Amino acid sequence: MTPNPTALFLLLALLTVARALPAAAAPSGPVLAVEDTMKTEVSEVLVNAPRVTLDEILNRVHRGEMRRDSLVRDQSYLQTVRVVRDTDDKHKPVLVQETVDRVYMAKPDKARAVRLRDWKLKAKKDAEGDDKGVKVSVDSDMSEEIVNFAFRPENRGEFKFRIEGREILGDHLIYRIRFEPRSALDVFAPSGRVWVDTHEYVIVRQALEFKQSPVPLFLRGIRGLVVERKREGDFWVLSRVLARMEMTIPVPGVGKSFDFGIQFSDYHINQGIPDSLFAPARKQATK
Amino acid sequence: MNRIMMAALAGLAALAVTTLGPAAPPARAQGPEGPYWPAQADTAFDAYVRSMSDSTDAFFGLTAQEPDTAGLDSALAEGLAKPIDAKAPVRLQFALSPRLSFNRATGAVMGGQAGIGATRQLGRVTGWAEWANGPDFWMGGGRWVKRWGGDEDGASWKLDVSGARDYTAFDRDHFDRQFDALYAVVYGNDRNHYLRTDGLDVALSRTYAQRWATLAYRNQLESPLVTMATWNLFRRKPAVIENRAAALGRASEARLSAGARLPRVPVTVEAQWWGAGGPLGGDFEYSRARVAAGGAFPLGELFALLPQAHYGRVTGQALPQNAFYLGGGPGLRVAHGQSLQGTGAAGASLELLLQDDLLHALHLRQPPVFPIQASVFAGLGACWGYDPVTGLARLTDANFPEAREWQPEVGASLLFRPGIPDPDQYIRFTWALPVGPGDRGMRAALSIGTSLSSLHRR
Repeated sequence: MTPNPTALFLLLALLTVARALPAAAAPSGPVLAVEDTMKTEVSEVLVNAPRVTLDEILNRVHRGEMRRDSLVRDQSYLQTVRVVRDTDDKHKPVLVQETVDRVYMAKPDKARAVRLRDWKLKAKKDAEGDDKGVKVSVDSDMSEEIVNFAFRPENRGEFKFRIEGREILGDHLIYRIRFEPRSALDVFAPSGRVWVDTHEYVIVRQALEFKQSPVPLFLRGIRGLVVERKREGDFWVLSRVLARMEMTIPVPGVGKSFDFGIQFSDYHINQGIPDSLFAPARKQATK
Repeated sequence: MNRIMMAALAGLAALAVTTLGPAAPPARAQGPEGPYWPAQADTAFDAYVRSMSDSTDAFFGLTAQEPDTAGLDSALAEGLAKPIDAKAPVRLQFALSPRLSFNRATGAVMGGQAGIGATRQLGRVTGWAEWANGPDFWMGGGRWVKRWGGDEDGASWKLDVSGARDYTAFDRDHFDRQFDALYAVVYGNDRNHYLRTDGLDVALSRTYAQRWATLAYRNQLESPLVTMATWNLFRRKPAVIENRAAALGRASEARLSAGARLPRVPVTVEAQWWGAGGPLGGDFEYSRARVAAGGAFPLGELFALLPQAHYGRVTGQALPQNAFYLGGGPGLRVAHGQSLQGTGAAGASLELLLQDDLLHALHLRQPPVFPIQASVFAGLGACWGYDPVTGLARLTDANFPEAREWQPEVGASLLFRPGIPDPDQYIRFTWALPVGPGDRGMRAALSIGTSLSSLHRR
């Protein structure tokens, strides 16, 4: 008896549909009714969503960052600087320094920091009578270069970028973009990974790493250099900068492994800061 | 037949439904989803960001904890009540430091320098005086350096004015005052030849992002020095005893240099030109040009490829102090430092550098405190034209060497990069082997220098 090819093909088709049915019916959200009594007409919609290149994403990130910067007229925040020694998991970490400042910034060039707390485990003075320890000064630049340095047009040619992954979270699409220096000898240029929310093309987080220590004689490596942002009203702003340094030899005061962290909190953005609060317009040299 | 076709189509349709239809998630347009799932959408995003923050908290522990805000309000009120300084005080930044050096022409050089001021304010003034115990004379001078810009827009200017009696080396492309003095005083391995300079030097430089340029002028009397000291700490016979005589005369020389990192490729190019005489006057008349290029291309995670090349040419008066010197560097590591000289020089090398620690890459140890890197290289170099030092070579105006003048080589190096004083500098132990005819032998040498030493700046 010769098998009927039509019957065989129909059987195959039925089997395939039967295999597909459980997948189609798999619960992936709320349970809906059959709704066969509901009638509606949906007009034809042309979905026009062209894929953009990585270059275009980088451009949009830069434009998003510029837009963010252009919208901030003034801001004030609480800046906490911490240094913690013995973070090598062999000892109990010890806080050696905590300074808290209220920072005021206003465009175009006003900046002031009011010291609110200055605590050190062992206060020491340098040769000029100033307190020894980690110092962080502020200027009037609110563009948060530490977050977006690799995306700036003047630096972008120095790095290679690639999309490492993406997450779709509700109506947010997060791209994880990896960048690394083009030159193998740029020891001070970090590699990194940024999380970009394409809702506003803003960087929400950055993790940096150095393939080689910039100063191998003293610095064994930098582990876990993280830059985080958070949303404050309509703006994404710096939230934390944290780094763990591992030294080759114990350094007096901080040991062989120490953390350095800056936290930014209690933001007030575009709420107006009176000119009288600032010193005469002057840009400070360092940040 | 029609039934067969229908059945086939049904089968294909079923397969298409299986692979493309229900299995694929429903496409979602970008943008707000309207009133359907707003809370869920932001919650998912917030939870994602928060989960990353939580892992950061766990890693950094105490460092990442929120600050205690008790007492900050009263401290703020007190801080705001303090008067604001109308102007930040100008710091004089006075500094005093010793100056020590050594070479066989000056002997031990001992002195000190004092500096005051800041380059970004009114400028920094430095003065120094030092005594050369070999020829028994004093050297010294003053320098003023002023900088503008550089913080906000990345572009900066620098003006550097100095007037001094000083010494320098014939090889203006590779002379390193500190390291060469170290070689000389420790074991006498200093192959430079020295001259004395008296006069003025002015340089205006501009740097913007990865580009830089300098316009400079100097008017200096150049005079010869003779060997005065042949000792060293290890009491070894100096590699070179004679200090060859520089041409005596006043150099009125302009200098232009420019360099840039090329966009999108890790390659740096630089060009330099020196011109003396003509409308500038002085006793010498020459034109000296040099171009170089080099790059560092990553090859995966472990390796980097470092190509580099240089070419230089002197026209006009050929002097010992404006000639090109080769040896010991890229393209000619098999030759001793500064052992070849002429009015033309060229070289090229290709080096494969292991970026990780050698033993760690071989899985023989954990990432170490002092990583030792390794490299293999191939290169070639040539020096040609008139030799103004010996005066024995034939006079030529050839712009390129003849084929027989190229000296190829291969070799390997072990390297350690301490990161100070220059993060690009390596302590390098090299074995170099000559390739091709000739009686050149293998050479092993310890040296300090950058990996792209054809370039003055990377």
